[in-house]
Amino acid sequence: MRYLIKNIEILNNDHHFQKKEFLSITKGKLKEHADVDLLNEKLKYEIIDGQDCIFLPVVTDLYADLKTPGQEYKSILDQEISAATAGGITTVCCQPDTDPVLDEPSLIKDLITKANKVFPINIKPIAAITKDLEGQQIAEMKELYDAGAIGFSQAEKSIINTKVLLRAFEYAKTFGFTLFLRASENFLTENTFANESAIATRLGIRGSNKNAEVIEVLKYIALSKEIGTKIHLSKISCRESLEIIARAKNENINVSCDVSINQLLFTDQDIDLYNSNYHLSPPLRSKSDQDSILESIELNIIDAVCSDHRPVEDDKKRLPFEESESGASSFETFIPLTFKAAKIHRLNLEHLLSKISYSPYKIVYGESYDYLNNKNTDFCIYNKSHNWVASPNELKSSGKNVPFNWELEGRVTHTFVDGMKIYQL
Amino acid sequence: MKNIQINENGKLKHLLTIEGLSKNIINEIFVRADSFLDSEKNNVKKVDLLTGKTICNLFFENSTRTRTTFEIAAKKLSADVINLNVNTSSQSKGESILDTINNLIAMHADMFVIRHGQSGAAHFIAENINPKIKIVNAGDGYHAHPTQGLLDAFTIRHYKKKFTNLKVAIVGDIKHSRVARSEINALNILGVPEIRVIAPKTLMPYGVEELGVIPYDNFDEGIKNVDVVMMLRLQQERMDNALIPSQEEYFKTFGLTAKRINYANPDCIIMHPGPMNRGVEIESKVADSHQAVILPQVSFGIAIRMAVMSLLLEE
Repeated sequence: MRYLIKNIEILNNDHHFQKKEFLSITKGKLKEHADVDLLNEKLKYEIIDGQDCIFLPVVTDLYADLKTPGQEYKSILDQEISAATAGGITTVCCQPDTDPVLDEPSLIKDLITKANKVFPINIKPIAAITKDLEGQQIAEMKELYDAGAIGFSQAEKSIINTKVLLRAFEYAKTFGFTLFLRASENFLTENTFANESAIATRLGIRGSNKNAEVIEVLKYIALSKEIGTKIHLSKISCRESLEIIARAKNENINVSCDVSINQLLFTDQDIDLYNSNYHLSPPLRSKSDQDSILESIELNIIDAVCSDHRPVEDDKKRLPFEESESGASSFETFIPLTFKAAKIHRLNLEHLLSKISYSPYKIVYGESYDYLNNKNTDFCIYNKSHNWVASPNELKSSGKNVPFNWELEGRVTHTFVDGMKIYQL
Repeated sequence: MKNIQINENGKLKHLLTIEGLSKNIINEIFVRADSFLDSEKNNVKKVDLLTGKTICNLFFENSTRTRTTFEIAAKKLSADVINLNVNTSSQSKGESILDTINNLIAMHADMFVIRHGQSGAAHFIAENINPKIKIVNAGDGYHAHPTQGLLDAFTIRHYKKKFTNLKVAIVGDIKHSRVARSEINALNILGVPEIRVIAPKTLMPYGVEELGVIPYDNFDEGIKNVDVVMMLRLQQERMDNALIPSQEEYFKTFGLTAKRINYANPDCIIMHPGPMNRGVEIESKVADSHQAVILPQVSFGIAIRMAVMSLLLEE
């Protein structure tokens, strides 16, 4: 199939919007044309009108929960892959805290195969650092990598035994693997459900002290500095952590980090009246933390923004705040929320969009993406003037809960992977 | 906070928390409680304000004392009372809170008095059930215990007459106390100019100043010249969680002793929501002293609960 996209703005390799008159896709290859007459008239093209649309290359999500393996009987994987595709995400990195844990090469292969039966998007599993995520025995990293894992993580669990952590850093360094680490000290986060704050005190919700994150960030950076392991810190949420990461980057320590899109739009004040849709992990932090996150995005201390997509069944959200399960459905709202964050905080939109595309792509694939000269033509088309409401009927994800009730401005209309159209609204 | 406990006419619809109540509503409850106490003095054991109404005491956490006072209050108002201890009922079979409550509504309960271990549980239920059903929060997690807060304020009013010239100290495990939060809310609304909270840092919640109190970690300093001391119960599990080293050390540093009470004003009253741990948070002879008003608190508790229930259920 051949496609011709007319009159669209593209986020180019320099992270700037650039108007393109004609873009053609033939046999999976993208080409620019100054004049449509140059196209071979004998060939048939499916025309896509790019009016009011943005061409976003390689939207890459570094932190998502596909709930698979573990809940196959509920067809959750089909729904989540459909949701990612409808959200314009062309690469999804998923976490190993599944049932069973992603600590066996066969599980990695199986997950990729099953996901690609739904839609051929790029599924990049992050495998477990330790067997069963128990923090005792290092998983077979090389085997897991060869099976398709792009890095290693403990998801929400910390490695309590520092000797095991040190060995994991050393072993990963041996092969040049990246450790994707959630800085969350489990003793300090145990039985906590919100940011430790005046509002949590007022509401009587047990809060997590920021030190749960800061202590782990310090530890990981110290080990990375010593051993040289590449680390990526996932879902950073506190000002103090970002200050430490900024210093580490100045010292050329091999560290990158991301934040959840939710931290850009909401703060701990939003949990007022116990709305369990705001029960997230890490918890929504203070306005001061959010200000620091926004500033760190501008200064490139933060490398990427992730969706933190975590579908939760309605019955598990419709409970008192502390009893509810944490998480929000974010695949399909990821790009609209990124536009929204740029608008309400007056961030540079092009720069922010690079944090969900070119920048996380480089973290996953280890090389920069060039939208014209690349192995895979992966992109989505985002219509800025298509307003919609993320209602349960609209969302393809098994998780129907979103932490807002406003109308979204803009929606993904097409998703292409490897030059193939795999989704159209 | 959005106030779902007040209706469009400014009247009380549920009692979920003291936060957000007006001074007028609190005074209305106090005046009603006064009238019930007067009736009691005149040997009127029962009034027929709630004849035909059904009140369900739904306790997801064990409590004998609070549940009993609610039960007595409801019976004195001539309501029918159902006590349900949910720990031993269908919740343990996997039924959700809302399913449990909707089943009981189908049995025509008019009011639920709810105690639950999760903060916000009463709000959650009030938001999700038939709006005609009234909810009284009898304690939710660390959040609120509004009838206790009201009865404590009512006790202070009884002994001190005015709120606007008082210094009040709340002492103990502020961090895990729904009683402390409700007392603080009530006293702030009623115009107490100085509310102090006294606790070791491990038992002091983050950002407590924003509740409108002055924190102290030295008991002797905090109790100086206060008119009211409100002690809180210390639970055994606090030792298990490394919050304090031992009951003995706690008593030495944060227990109310006869020596310490001398730092307060001579006519200072001593309160405790019960049950007391003598020798842990309060010295026995202080608990039994003429300054202690702990037993009157219990009596006032019934009058306050009668006032709240009748106010909510009267058409």
